[in-house]
Amino acid sequence: MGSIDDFDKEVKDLKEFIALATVSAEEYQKTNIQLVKHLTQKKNIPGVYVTLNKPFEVMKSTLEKGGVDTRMIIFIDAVTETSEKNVSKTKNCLFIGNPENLSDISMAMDQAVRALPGNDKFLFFDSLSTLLVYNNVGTVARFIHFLAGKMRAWKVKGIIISLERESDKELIEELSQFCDVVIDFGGKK
Amino acid sequence: MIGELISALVAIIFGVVAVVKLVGDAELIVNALSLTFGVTAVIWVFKARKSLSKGSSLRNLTTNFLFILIFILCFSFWSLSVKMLGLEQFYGDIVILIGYMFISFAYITIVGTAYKIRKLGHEFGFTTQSKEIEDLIKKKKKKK
Repeated sequence: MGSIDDFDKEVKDLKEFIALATVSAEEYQKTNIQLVKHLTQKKNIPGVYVTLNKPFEVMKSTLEKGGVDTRMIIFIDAVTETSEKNVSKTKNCLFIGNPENLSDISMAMDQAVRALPGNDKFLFFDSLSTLLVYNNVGTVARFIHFLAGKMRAWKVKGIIISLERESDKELIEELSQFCDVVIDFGGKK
Repeated sequence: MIGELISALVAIIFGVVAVVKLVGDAELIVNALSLTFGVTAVIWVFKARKSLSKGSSLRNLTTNFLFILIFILCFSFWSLSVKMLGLEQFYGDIVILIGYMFISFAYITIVGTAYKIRKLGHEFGFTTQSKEIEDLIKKKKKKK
């Protein structure tokens, strides 16, 4: 079971990386906050947070409560429009239809990452497990492979969060080959 | 990839055959070639559309582009038919008007697509946020 310090040690020498972080449902929120806080506060890196799990407003307030400066982040929300129609773009969030809409998610990520200032930036993808609820395993595997390639092209610090579940184990193993680091933040099996 | 190349090759061969048959008339040659390129473009766009997520902005734009291509293709096909069959002699100016109708539809769809692109630029553009983040990073660095 890893911690933020272990994560930091693993990626210390890597300017750009793709990390697959597996986490238990209990530790999920805490880990997300710690990772984003570590990148934005400690490292002072701006980034893109792709949320497929919780609506932007909820995610933003959760992160802010955890001490994250959300002004450093551009959000891409692929969940709000599943329940509320006609949501327009807010100051730092773009709403995409739903987690099935992989084309728009990719396009939004590309635009957001390229818009970020400086050379150091991160992309936080939350989460692989939600993607699996809306898409089949093959589509998710292909999308993550595509995303990994894009992350390398964008030269970002990429973090993909996944709940560690027995059902996703094979996929996680398959995806680990595209990633530089696989960190277990405490998966309950 | 191979499929695309084959369809492109077939389209070009048809075009070249048409040019050879109709050689001597510039308007006919241009129309035939336009038709060939148009068919190739429609096939490619149709294939691209199929692989994009349902309901995505990119797929909607591709659909619009497909309609534009189809209208232009109809225009080329119509012009070629008019020229080859000499339809103007039998039906008068109405055949020219039908051609203009296709081009008008194409322009109307272009305007609609341009509006969608404008909206997309506003939606997917992050220039303002980028500037704000840049200022924030500078402030934080100064504090340190």
